[in-house]
Amino acid sequence: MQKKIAVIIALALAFASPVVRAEDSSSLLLTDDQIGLIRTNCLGVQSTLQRIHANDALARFNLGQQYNIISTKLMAPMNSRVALSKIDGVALLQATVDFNAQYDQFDSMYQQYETTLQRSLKLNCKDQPVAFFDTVSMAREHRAAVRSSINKLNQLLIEYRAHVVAIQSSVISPGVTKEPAQ
Amino acid sequence: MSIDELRSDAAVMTHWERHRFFGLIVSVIVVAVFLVSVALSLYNNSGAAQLDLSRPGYQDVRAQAKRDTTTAAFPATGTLDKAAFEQFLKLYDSRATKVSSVDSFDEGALSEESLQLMREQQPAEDPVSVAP
Repeated sequence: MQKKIAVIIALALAFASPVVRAEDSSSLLLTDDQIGLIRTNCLGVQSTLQRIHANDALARFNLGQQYNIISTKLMAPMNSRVALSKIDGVALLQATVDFNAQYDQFDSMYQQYETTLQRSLKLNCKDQPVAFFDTVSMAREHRAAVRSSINKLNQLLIEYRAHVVAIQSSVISPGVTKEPAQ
Repeated sequence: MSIDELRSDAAVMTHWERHRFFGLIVSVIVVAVFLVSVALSLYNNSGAAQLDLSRPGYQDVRAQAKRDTTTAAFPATGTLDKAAFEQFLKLYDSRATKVSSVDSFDEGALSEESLQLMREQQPAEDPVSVAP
């Protein structure tokens, strides 16, 4: 019985405990004047960050929705149709796999960025100006990573389209169409 | 059953039997707290929290979230002819344009020039020195 209780408590702690990540806080050495300036300006900056945070959530929502639709309602059916027509669609499948993997990467990068930005909003910046500066710097890096993953996703969209066009030009010749295999 | 019989029954009850209703309430609360903590931790760690625009702080942007209810999907079966490719490319291009035309997460938004975290406060102009 005691063993069962211990297992339940361990499970509860494992689920309830916050995720801890080791992060490199390589802050610049700030002078006293700079720390003073951060203290003076940080409340205004936090209000700007709050707006950025809300707008980013909206952008993430809309982007995620569009990427999902492209993957599930366009790429997957096209791959299926290419396979049914017995056309070589390995490049298409590879592009789809890469796209989905990159989407997961984008999702994880955004989570990381959002967590950091949220932390900078919750910090008492008047009391912890250096920590606030470090968190904002980290949020900049994470935002750049999100941006980079979006660029890669857009690049993969272009690649996928190029593969479709290549199949189109190889399959469609005047008067010839591919019937799906029975 | 008379009150005396109830009293005599209560007298032979163990401590646990006498407080089992209280024990039941406490157990229910403990189980509820455990389940809620599991649910909250899944909500936070799965990324659902980041996509939840119903949270406080998102009131301003909530209305701008576009729920795409379109059912325009490329059919998964059928002949792959010129018309099918054209239909696909039309749908695909319209979606791809929607994501690539938006300049999301630009790095300038968090730059020092934009946030001005280290901006020197401009001293208030002295009306005496400004006056001619």
